[in-house]
Amino acid sequence: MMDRVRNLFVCWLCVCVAAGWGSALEAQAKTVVQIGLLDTFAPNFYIQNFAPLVLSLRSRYPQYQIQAFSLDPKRPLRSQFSSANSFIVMESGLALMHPELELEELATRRLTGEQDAAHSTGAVFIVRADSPYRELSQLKGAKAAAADAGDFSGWLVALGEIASIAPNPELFFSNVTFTHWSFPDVSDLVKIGSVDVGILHTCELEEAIRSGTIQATDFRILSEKSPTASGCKRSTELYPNAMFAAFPTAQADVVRNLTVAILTMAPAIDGSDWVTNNRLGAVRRLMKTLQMGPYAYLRDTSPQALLLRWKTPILMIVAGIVFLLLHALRVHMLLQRRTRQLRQEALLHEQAEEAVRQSQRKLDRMEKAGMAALMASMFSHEIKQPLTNVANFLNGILLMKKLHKENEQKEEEALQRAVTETYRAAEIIDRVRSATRRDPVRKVLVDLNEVAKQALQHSRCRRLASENIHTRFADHPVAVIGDALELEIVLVNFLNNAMDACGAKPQIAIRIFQAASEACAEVTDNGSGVSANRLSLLGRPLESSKPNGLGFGLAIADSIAEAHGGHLEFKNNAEGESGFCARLWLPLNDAPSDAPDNAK
Amino acid sequence: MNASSFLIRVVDDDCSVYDSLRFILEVGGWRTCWYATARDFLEKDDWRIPGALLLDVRMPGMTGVELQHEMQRRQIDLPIVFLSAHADVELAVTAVQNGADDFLIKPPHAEKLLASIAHACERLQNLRALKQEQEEMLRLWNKLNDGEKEVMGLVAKDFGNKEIANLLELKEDAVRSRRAIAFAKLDISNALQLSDFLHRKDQLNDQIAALKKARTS
Repeated sequence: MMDRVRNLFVCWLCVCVAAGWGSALEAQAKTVVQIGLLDTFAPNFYIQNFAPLVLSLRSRYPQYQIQAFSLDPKRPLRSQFSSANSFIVMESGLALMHPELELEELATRRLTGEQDAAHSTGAVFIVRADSPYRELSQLKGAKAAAADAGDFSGWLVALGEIASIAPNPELFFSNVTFTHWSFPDVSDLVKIGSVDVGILHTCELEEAIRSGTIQATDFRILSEKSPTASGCKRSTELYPNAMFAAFPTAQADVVRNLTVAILTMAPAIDGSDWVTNNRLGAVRRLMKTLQMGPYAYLRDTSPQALLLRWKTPILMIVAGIVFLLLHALRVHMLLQRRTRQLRQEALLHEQAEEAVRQSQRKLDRMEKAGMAALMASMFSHEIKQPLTNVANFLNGILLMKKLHKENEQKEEEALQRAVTETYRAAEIIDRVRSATRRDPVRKVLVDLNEVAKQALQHSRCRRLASENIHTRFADHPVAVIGDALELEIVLVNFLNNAMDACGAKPQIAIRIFQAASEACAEVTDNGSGVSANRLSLLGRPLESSKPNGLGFGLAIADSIAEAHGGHLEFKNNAEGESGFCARLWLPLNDAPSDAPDNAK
Repeated sequence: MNASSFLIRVVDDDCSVYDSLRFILEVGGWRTCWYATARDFLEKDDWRIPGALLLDVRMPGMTGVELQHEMQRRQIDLPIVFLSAHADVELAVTAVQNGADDFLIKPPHAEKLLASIAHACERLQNLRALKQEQEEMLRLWNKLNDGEKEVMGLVAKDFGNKEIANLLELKEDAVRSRRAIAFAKLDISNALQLSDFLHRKDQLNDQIAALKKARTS
């Protein structure tokens, strides 16, 4: 029936065109204005909107030769026009798909009751009343039917709605049947069940119900939203509908005239009129969602395209990373520098501390040396008093005899006093002795080899080159009982004496050996040796042959040896070699499991 | 020289040292007394009594050397013989340069000690005798007034009365009277005696100075 109506109008139009043709022959100078229609609208659009529009224009501007025709969507649109003054009526959304046409939008159709033209048309999802589908999301993988793949108000808008609940809307349905506006149409297919869901324009359903084509109760609408101003049901957002646009080649006068005419036209039968304030924001958003038209480039997911599209955020991220890296590098370098500084400071600090410790040790040693000298001085002063007195008394007696002034009583007194003074002297000596008495020797097991090694480290011999010093330790531990430190003092003393005795080419040897039940630590040197006279004086305090010596060294060594139950032995080397030999003899600890208290 | 007329002061903090020294000194015939500290000596001693000091170097409080300085300050002329337990060469040399008579090391040889004491006392005796003589001469001389001293000075130079009168712009009579008075005051009668007197006065200064410097060998 639709086709019949259409055919009727086409014929009628041809008649008009023919009539017009005649008048065109008369007036060849008339401006040719061509208006093309890209009909993707509801079937009534042509009759109710387009045709009246053309007629209205014609009657208004008889000076124009207005030609109106349908456009073939499969062919390039511009080529279908021959006049410069070309205008087109198409869906507002589709115009966005053809930015190359540089169309100038002049007016947009506004539906009845709507405030603006931007929300005119949308789509509805219909299912059979008895189908199990209640939600749009349940339709995943279902079969669908729509009028045309390029149908903006139908298919594309529906895709946009689906895009809001699922990615890749084009793959949402398992199968889509396009009816291309022919029989069976979408509602038929849904009714007979060959598809699960159908997509119609808004108001298409109401129109069909009004004309009796379908029963309202046959169908149910999914994802229903508030109805349009005209009362039609809808499932999607609303978008602008028809648009009247001019090609850039149209003359300004013509454009103005037509625009004025359209805007001032009386509303159509369905109550729609044309206004200028269209907003394409929603359309653009839809295009972007579906990645179509001007946003088709979004489909390009090749790396170059992605890079170009996201170049600003990518650049910022890269810059951020670079900044962080540089920062980390700088922090690292600062850290290195600081660590180095701290290490240097620590080193200096250590060195300073070491220096302090060394001077402290020096001070201690000086103090001790000073104390020894002081004690010696005090002792010598004290002891002189009684000795002086003894001398005086005895001298006095001698003098008396010499001067023949004998006096027995006085003599006796003097002798008594002299004796008393000698006791006093002995007392002083005792007192001094007790003040400097050594602590009893610690009795532990000691290896003489180890003692010798330590002594070498602590004596002045440590500075000798290896060819000057020879060590012959025993190949097994030589165990004695005693205090390792005190024994070390003895050997250090021997070694230092050897160093002092040697001249330019010192040869010092230290040897540890056993003989019978005794252990021996021996130090030999190649110095000048010691005269027989001095040999007998060795070990006696205050008889030092050294300029600053008190002669205590060997005396202390002697007392240590004695405290350990051993003794010292001194002799010159055998005939033929000059030099001296000093020996420390100690009793050997032959029972290794001896308790320390059982030392000999 | 009679030893018993002298007093030997022993200054030492150790009493037993005094006892033993006293023994020897008394054998040598000397009188002794003991002071435990230098201050005791300064406070209690009558230094007009001729004698000498046997002085220890190391004492608590004022040391021997300090006492020596103090005595010089107070012009106590008693000779000092130091007796020290230490053979400190520097100390000894300094002490003697500062006026000590001797520096002995304990224990001293008995004869050496007695000899040092004797020498010191003899020196003191001579010194004091000279000083006394000098004092007496000065007393006499200071009886003269300035004018008389002037005339005497010229008379000693063998000037005649007339010449003196000319030189001093006096009348010869005045000169003669001054001369007479001066002679009377000085208890002399002729110019020769005057010359001796003045000569002796000068000589005494030198002798005293020399004696002050004289030490034991």
